Amino acid sequence: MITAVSPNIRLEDQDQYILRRFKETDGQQEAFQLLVRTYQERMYSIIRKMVIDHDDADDVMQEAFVKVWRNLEKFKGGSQLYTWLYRIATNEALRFLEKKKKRFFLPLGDVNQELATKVDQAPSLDGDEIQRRLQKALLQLPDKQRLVFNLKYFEDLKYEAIAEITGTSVGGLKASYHLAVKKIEALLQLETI
Amino acid sequence: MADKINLYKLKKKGQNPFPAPEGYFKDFSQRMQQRIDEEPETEKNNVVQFSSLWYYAAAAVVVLVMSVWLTNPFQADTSPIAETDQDEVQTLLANVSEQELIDYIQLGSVDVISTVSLTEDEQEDLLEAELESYDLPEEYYLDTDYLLEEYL
Repeated sequence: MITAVSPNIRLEDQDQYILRRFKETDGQQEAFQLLVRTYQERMYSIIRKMVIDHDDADDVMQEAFVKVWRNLEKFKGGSQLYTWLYRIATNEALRFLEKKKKRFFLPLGDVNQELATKVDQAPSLDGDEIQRRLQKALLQLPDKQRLVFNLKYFEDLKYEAIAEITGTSVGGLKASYHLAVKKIEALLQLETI
Repeated sequence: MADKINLYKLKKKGQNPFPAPEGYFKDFSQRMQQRIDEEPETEKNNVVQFSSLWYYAAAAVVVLVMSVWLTNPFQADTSPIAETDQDEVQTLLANVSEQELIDYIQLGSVDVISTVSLTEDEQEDLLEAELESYDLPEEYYLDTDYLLEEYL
């Protein structure tokens, strides 16, 4: 759960402070630093689950926050700050995966094989066989479905929040997530036979 | 027979399959600020101009090739195009704007990279520039209001 940097302040109030302060010439750095410190872990978590590799996640994180820096002043406040930030993070992660596919001129299957290799090499999954299999099964899903799954299953976001982040209807998300769960369970079950 | 797999039974509270390396977040905000401070003010505009430069170069090559091809003295005289004299060719080409040539190259089958003989680094820069305006397929469009142009 995201909380404000100071325990005595509500997150919504801190967000308003960041937005206000960022518009002040001498407050941009302070506001941006506060924003990064508040949201960095959650942004990393979302991005890393999509791109798998830490160094790639670091690159995407930086690109995402550069976009935030360039556009925070123009944030209209029509959505909550965190959904706007997560939207940038997820879009940058998806762009990264698309770019990887284009750069190496590989079909999607080969990119996923590369990601599967990175899953095998992840030290955090060492000894956690079921989690390793789950992550590799997730790579079988289309990227956006995998994203929805990650946001729901791992990040525990409500459908309404995911809908704001992805621009998809709640009904569509529920269907996508339900199908993803069934598919993953079937894939994992197949491996146990 | 193996037990039926249930993802929710597998889920552990607070589980994170890919935690960040220790200390990663400690100075991330400072590193980001450093990166921001190093960002040139007009980098975004330079990328667009750089991208256009290669297309202009390709357009120039296409004009040259078309000029030579249309007035090729070694072509058979039976071609109506071969009967066109050089002045007419230049007139025809002059009526084609640079933007039309660029659009033709971008939409058509002319390969900028091989036409202009870009190096590997230049190819990478061109790809970066193309991706700046790359529209993800419909299924990836996260929000109809979130257009790249919003951030330009």
